[in-house]
Amino acid sequence: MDDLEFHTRAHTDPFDEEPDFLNALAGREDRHNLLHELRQLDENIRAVSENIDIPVRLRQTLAPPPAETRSWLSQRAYAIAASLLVSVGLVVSTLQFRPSASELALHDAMLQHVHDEAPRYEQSTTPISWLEVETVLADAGVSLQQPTGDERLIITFAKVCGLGGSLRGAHLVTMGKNGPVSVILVRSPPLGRSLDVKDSRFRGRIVPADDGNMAVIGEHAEELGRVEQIITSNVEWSI
Amino acid sequence: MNLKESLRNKMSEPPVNRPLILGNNRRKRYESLVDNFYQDVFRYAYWLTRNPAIAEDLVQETFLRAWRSFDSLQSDDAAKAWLFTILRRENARMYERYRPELVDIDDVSIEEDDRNEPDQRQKLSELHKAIMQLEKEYRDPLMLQVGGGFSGKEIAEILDLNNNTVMTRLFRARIKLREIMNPGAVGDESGHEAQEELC
Repeated sequence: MDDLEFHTRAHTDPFDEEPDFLNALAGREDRHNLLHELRQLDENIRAVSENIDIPVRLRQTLAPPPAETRSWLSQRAYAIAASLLVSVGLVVSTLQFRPSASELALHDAMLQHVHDEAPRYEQSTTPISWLEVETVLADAGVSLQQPTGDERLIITFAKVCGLGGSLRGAHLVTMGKNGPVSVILVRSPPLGRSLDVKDSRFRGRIVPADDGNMAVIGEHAEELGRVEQIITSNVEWSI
Repeated sequence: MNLKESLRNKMSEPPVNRPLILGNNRRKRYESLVDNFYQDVFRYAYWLTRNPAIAEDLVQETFLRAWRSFDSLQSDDAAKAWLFTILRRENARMYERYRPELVDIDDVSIEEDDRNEPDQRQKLSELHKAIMQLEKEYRDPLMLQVGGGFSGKEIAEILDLNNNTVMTRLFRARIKLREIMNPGAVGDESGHEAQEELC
């Protein structure tokens, strides 16, 4: 078997057990190594898939509908009423609880940005001057009063950043109890409600404000409420 | 059972390791179907939609449809592929045309797994992100094969593609994943460029 065929078959199915494929491994360490890598990749893909969080109540919602014992007429009336109820419920729940495309886009942009910037802000542990912070905020069309006393913020990272391709915002990082906490302030149409942000590493919330949106995002163990409250109380959106 | 079968089965292990209940008791058969497959169906819905909330809705709709048309399921052996096909159809009907394809959505529902070391967790997190970056046409067959445990022929039926196309997409999916995970490393291997021209 030539290298091209082996390469193709290994990538198509690393667990190919056809004799000609397995025989092609004999005396070829490079092929063994490639196959080992591809099998490990498959094992890791499976591990990633199995780590997906299954919603706790999902199983309960999949029960079959109750058995029908009513008369034809009552069944029909019941079906119509139930359909109406379900439709109204679906519309309401869809409108209220399912994130809209714009909410999802902002959610994704915020999380992606924090992931992208984490290697940089994790290197910045020295507090920067408030003047530098104000300069960044002004560039993004936001101003923030430095709180006093216990609420005083120590900022270790401040940059004007692009988010999701078209948005521009200020990304500040302050130190929380357990690690860095990102505060992202973006002038964009405010969301209709607060939106939780969560992935395997980070969690937080996007909060709509007068003329924009504010996200406070930290590692899972971080207490974010205090930072959110401080920022909310002191932020002003410039014209 | 050979190595391949063993690994494939391991990849698609049902949450409760019990056979589907045979016979005519519709309700019990359905409950058994749900117990065996709802987690796999949810995971596939997640990869398909890249959004856990939409995936959850999709799974509910899928099983509702499955219940309504349960009598059309001829063989319990085909149950999983049957569910995945319903799910794909429901996704196309309910969401695909209304929802913009969001690029770079991150792994919003990965569980913390204490069994893994931090390095391994980081690696899996990067892999999750890389899978999300794959184009749908590559992600789809790969997750059906690796996550769902389906053969090439079954994937071709579920995706309504011919077998060669599925094989090509599986090949490219792994090449692309490796390129994302180790930029520059894959192109040096013999045969890679030639195979790319085949597709």
